[in-house]
Amino acid sequence: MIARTDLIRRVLLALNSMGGQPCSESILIDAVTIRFTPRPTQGDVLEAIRDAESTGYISGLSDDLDGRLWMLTPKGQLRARSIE
Amino acid sequence: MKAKASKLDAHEAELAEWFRKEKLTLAQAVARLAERQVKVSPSRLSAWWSAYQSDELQAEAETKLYADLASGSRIAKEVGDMAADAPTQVATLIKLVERLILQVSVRGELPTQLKVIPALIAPCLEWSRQQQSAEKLALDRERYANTLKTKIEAGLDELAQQIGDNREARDLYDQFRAVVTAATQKA
Repeated sequence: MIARTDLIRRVLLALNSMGGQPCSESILIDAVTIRFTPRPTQGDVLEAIRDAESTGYISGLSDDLDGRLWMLTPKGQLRARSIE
Repeated sequence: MKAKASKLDAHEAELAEWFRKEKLTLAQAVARLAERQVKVSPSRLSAWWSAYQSDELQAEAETKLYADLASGSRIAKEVGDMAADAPTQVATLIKLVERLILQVSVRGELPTQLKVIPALIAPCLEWSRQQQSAEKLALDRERYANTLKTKIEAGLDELAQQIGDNREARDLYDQFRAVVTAATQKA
């Protein structure tokens, strides 16, 4: 099992590397799972996303094409830059 | 990430050099560590070295992931921006391409051809805009012709009323109207 804090770190770094563009939830989940061993479960990543949202690091919006989109808040940008 | 800290972590740079450059065996490395007052078994050192290499690979993979994501999202944004003033159907298609670029970049399969997508979409959009302009121009032309025809017909009707029962004038009027009608139909 991967530590929640590590998953949140990956979420923030993935969004940060996208230059502030909103990212669909499915792509974000892929970004923090596909290339990692051991591969985290989708459920673990979703919980990490919720944690990051409740901490105020990311905010979500709905989109007809993509479902849910996530992007870094200014607080999240600062945090991501500090852990880069 | 390693499960827990080890006394060997403080010597990771040395160990990396011993194993990679000097090609030491586990026994030789254990002996050198002993000279530094670090007591460790060969099996423990082997397990630590495996975890260290795995961590390194993971870190490299993560760095590459973020670089790929940055590169993919730059191209995706360039493509996505084109959707702003594109016709609705084309805009949806462009948005889908944008998402696909991101998905491919997450998987680390960013082909070099991906970089030329914005350059390929631009002329398609230009062509689409030209088509739209041509269609609009044709429609405007048709509307103008219809308006003109209606006005001419109204004018001819008014003229017919003014001619009244004058037979000679009526014949001339009928000929004139036939010529005008043929001309407006051709236009």
